[in-house]
This record gives sequence, C-alpha cells and structure tokens, in this order.
Amino acid sequence: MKKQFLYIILLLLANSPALYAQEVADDFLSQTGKIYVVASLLVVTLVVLFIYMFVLDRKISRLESFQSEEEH
Amino acid sequence: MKNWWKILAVILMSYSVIAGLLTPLSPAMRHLDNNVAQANTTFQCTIQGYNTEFKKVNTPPRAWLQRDSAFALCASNIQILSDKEMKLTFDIPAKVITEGSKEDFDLIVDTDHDGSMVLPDAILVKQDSSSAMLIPSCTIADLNIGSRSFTFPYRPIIEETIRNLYFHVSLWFAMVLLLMLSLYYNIQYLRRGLLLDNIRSSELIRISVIFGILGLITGALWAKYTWGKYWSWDLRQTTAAIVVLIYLAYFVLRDSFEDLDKKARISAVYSIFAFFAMIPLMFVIPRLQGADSLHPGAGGNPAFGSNDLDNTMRMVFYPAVIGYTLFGLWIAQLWYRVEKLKLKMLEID
Repeated sequence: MKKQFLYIILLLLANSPALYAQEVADDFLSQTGKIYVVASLLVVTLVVLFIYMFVLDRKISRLESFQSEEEH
Repeated sequence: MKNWWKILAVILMSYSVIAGLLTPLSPAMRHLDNNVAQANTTFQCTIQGYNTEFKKVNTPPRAWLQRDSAFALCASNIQILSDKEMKLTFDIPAKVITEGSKEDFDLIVDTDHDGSMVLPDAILVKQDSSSAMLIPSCTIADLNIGSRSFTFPYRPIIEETIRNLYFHVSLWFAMVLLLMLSLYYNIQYLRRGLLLDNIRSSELIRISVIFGILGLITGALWAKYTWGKYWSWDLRQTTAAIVVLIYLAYFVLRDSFEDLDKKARISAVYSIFAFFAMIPLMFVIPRLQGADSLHPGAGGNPAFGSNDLDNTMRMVFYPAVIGYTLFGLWIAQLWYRVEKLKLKMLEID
C-alpha cells in the first residue's frame, strides 16, 4: 500500500511539468484577459498613497496642537 | 492661478486611468485548437479571437499560412462560427517545406471589420520527404486595418496587463524625474547653504522612495501573472530594488544626526552619491550587451522600441508620467511646508 502510494506520487511528480505547461487560467486574477491584475495594481497604488496622506494629516494635526499649546 | 500644476496633475492622472482602462485591445487571435498539420492532407483548425467581431464582416474574410516571404498558402474554406470563433480549412500540398521534415508557418487572418491578425509560428507543418516543389504562392495584399483605430496592441500572455505600463512604468519615470529635481536642490544647498533647499530635496527623495516601493510592489504583481513568479531575481528587478535600498539608507543616515547643519550637509553629499549610483543601476546595467532580463530593453535593445510602445500607448503613457511626477511634486511640497513650519517653530523657541 505504502509502495503504491509512493509510486503514484512519483508518477505525479514526473508528469508535473506537462501539467503546468498548459495554460491555466483558473484563478481570479487571470480571468478575462488578466484585467484584474491591472485593477490590483491600481488598488495597491491608491492604498499606499492614501496611507501616505493619513501620515501627513497626522503630522499636521500634531503640529497644530503643538502650536495651540504655545499660544496658551 | 498659483496651483495650476496641481490641477494639471489631477487631470493627467485621471486621464491616464480613464484612457488606460477604457481603450480596448486590438482584435487578435488568442488560441488555436489544432497546430500540427501534415503535408498532402486537409488541415482544419478553429481560431479563437480576442475582442473580435467576426459576425460583423461585410466581405468574406481571408486567411493565409505563410512559410516565408516567398510562399503563402490560401485557406480553401473559411467558416464563421461566432463572433469569437472561425473555422479555417487549408489544403496542404505534398511538398511545401524547403528544408528538413517540419517547418513553422505563420497564420494570418484578415477581415474588413477587425483588420488583419497575425499569429507567428502558429502551425507546424510536417512532411515525409524533404523537398519543396515550386508551388504558386498566394499573394498577401490589401490587408485591412480594421474599423477601430484607437486600440492598444494585443500581446499573448501580457493581454490586458499591457495597461500596467501606465501604472507601473510611469511610477519609475516619475521617481527618476523627482530624484533629478532633488539633486538640483541638493547642489543648490551645498552652494548656497540654505537649509530650506536641503529640506526640499529630502522631501522629494521621500516621495521618490514611496514611488520606488510602489513600483516594486506593482512590478511583482504584474510579474506573477506574466512571468509566473512575484520575484524572479530579474536583472532590472534586482537593480531597482538596490536603488530603493540605497535611498532608504539616506533616511537612516539623516535620522542618525541631531545637529541640523550636520544632518543636512552629510545627507546632501550622500544623496549626490546615491544619484550617481542610480544612473548605472537603472539605465546602464540592465541594457548591457548580454545582460539577461525579462524586461523589455535588455541585451542592447532600445527599451521603448515599437514592439513595446506604439503611438496610441504613447498618447496615454507620457501624460501619465507627467501626471505622476506633478502629483509627487505636490505631495513633496506638502511635506516641505510642514517641515518649514516646524523649523519656524524651533526658531521661535
């Protein structure tokens, strides 16, 4: 039984190059001409820039509170 | 209007997203169900079109199997199955190959609605004896250009991700342009000794590094779905990562000094060195003869030959570069204003 199992695994391994040589388009991002890859790039860019804006916003707030403390 | 360039940045970035996403890809052949033909038999195959509208043709479509410039074979029968499918029949003569026992033929399909489409080395023709007879060739002429003119080229594997050019490559172009500006301010600082020039340049480097990191992430994502791996230690990938690391070290160096003047002077000198380290890393090494990179422009080729960027793409790409650069300038300016205020408050103390 164990030997058979090993044999099957070896057979699968031997065949694997042929398996992934085929064009597989089963995951979400590869659908419809890979347009979702473009979408994901845009999402990444926007998310990073938004985070950057939030950091800037926080920095300005801190500066403002610092300034109002000085005025008092 | 003082802030016209900020509005321009928004307009150009919006334009690049809208035009970059809405422009269709040009019609092309995507798949072939049969690609091995035997000489002296009838060969049939069904092509699968991408963005094609075969049903809308007014005149009968034409198809050729082209061996080389000297010989092409006309399709004997063409049947349109649907907008995306067309069945081609070729009567292959007994002796068509010049050398050996097999040869790749290009497949060319031409319709008046979608224009002409080429699939290079699409069909392998096998032949028992290795001789060619002089068979009269079909002439390939009067090719149609198709009804849609504003399209991006279709490339196998890349497919729709050709649009990533505007969202990945423009980041790198913008990064380099912003770094050039930061170099200018650093030289100005070293010449005139105004601390504000140094702050200008350091904020420009900050947004450049963000663009560089974004370029690395977007590039890795794009690579996963076209080259198969997020990170394949591709030459240009690696040198770009080194450039980003060099500029990250700039901030480590800057933060390690308390004294403002010392901080400014040493970081200014470092950033000049960093800039001139970037030039060979980004522009020379990946283009060297024999350099092997998956990026276009490797091994002595020009990076933006007509294969990578056609005129339609240029009309979106260059505005995108200007848009990203102005946007980066805008963010750098906001940070600069914050730092200037901070400096003022320190002086009041």
